[in-house]
Amino acid sequence: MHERTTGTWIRGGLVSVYLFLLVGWPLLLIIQETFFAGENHLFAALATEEVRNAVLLTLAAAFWAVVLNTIFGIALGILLVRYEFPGKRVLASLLDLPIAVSPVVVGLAILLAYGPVHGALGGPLADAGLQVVYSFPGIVLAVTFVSLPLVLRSVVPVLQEIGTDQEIAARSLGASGWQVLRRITLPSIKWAVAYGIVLTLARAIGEFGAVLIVSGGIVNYTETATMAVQRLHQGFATGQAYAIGFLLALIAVAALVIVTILRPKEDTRGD
Amino acid sequence: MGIEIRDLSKSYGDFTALADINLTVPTGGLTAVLGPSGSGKTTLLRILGGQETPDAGTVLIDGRDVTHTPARHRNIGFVFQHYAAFKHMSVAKNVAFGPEVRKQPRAEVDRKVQELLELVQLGAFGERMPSQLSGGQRQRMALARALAIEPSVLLLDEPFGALDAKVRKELRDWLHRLHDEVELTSVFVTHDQEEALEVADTIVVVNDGGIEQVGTPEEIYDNPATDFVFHFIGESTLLGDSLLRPHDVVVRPEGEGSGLPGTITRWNRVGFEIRLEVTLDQAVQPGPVHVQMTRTEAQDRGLSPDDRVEVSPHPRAELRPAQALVAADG
Repeated sequence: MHERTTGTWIRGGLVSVYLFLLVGWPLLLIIQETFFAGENHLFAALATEEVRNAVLLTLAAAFWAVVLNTIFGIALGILLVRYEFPGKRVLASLLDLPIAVSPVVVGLAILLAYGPVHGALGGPLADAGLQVVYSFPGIVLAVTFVSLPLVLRSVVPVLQEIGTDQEIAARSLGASGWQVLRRITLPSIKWAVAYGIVLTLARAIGEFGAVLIVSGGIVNYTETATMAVQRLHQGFATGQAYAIGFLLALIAVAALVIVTILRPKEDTRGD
Repeated sequence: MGIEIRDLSKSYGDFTALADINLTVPTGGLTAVLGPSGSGKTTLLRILGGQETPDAGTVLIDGRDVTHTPARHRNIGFVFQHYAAFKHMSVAKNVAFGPEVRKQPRAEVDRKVQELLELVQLGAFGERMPSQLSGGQRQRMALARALAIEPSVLLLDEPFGALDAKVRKELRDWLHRLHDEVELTSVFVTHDQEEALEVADTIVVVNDGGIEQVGTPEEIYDNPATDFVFHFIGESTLLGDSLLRPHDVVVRPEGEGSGLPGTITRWNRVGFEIRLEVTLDQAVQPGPVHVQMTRTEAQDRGLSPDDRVEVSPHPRAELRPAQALVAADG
């Protein structure tokens, strides 16, 4: 341990004040407005069908974003770390694009590509009976897009760190490619995947801009929780807006806490 | 039978790792592939193990052509340099890995694992994680894991490299015993000549992608086939225009012997051994003559630091023209 000097206190104080002003205080106010401003807005909000539908829609879209991005993230992570191919560096940089680009732009792009009128793919898909934009698939597409690299970026450094020794050893012992993946690679990266999933979940349930454009925000049908917050806030039902905000924050924090508790402290023992 | 390598070549771009290698490793032996780094020894081992494909040539194991057989179908035990322990599995699970992926019955796997853990003296450590083992224990676990697939050939990459001297000694003895108990053809790669001389029945000296000499440790040491082998195995020193082993130099007090006169300018005692440097009066060579003798020999001859002495080669010494030194260094 370092000795606690004046410098340590000043640094610690600065960080605490910064975090409190930026994160702690606003969140505390949300909690206060939700539970201690006359009535319990959380129950009131969840009692309305529109809010329940919006929350369920958000959870469903986030679920699919997590499923798709987990499979995609692991597969692409292995591809990027373990294989050499032309255009690898370009691909690696392009994969950060979904977080770099403004979600509103993402929404517009999806609208252009999959929209029923102009969309190159949207028209044929609509003819085939699958409406993407202003419907559930469009919402899934938008939240998946904006949270695309999060599992990938969690997994890549761990894959690089564990190297290929264990995988080569497993092959020499007779394991097939599938057995190596299931018994060696996946168990080695599972906590990185878990963190990636938490980040993906948090990003997906919080998404607003991209979803706003592709979903149309039809109450009880394509309105997500964040859009409901916006509608209620503008409609002077601020208490319920705070309540949904609290619920969204709670889901993200709970996921983070669960992963932190489940994760064994193996790293401190490491070699 | 055993391992047969025919006309094997492998290059990486411009770099020739192996050039036209021919080698037969007899069944049941413990063979060391010895060479400096970059000599191609690891490439040879990786080709045997199926982790690399040769550009040309054939590898036969027990008469079967395995040149293009993937690693997982070769049934070769491979012990990796840094053990490659499966970190998320217990020691027992590590050892069980091979039999398990071969879908052997549970009871048989358990029995085999326990047997092997006893064999490598890790019987009480089955439930531990690899990170809780010492280096030597982890190495033995890696051995047990490789032996669990009942291989006919065991390949070891620098098996003693990362261990301290005492543990190395234990493992060497242990590997020797293992060979007496199990029918196994083992090949290990090393850059440490002492290790090769001590452990192996047969030594293959490689340099620059080619084989310099194959023989027993005695043959390699006593009758080096090439200047490289002479220089690489054991130590050598210059005496006049000849190259010879430092323990083949005879040092006597001035007036008692014949030979080149000089002075003992350095005196280094290492255990039972004394290492001397004798600086010659005449400038017939660059640098001093290096000499090794036992403490008893030095006492018998009455030698002490800074003495005036005469040095000559032992009558049975193997002498080589001094150009060898230059050639091997170049």
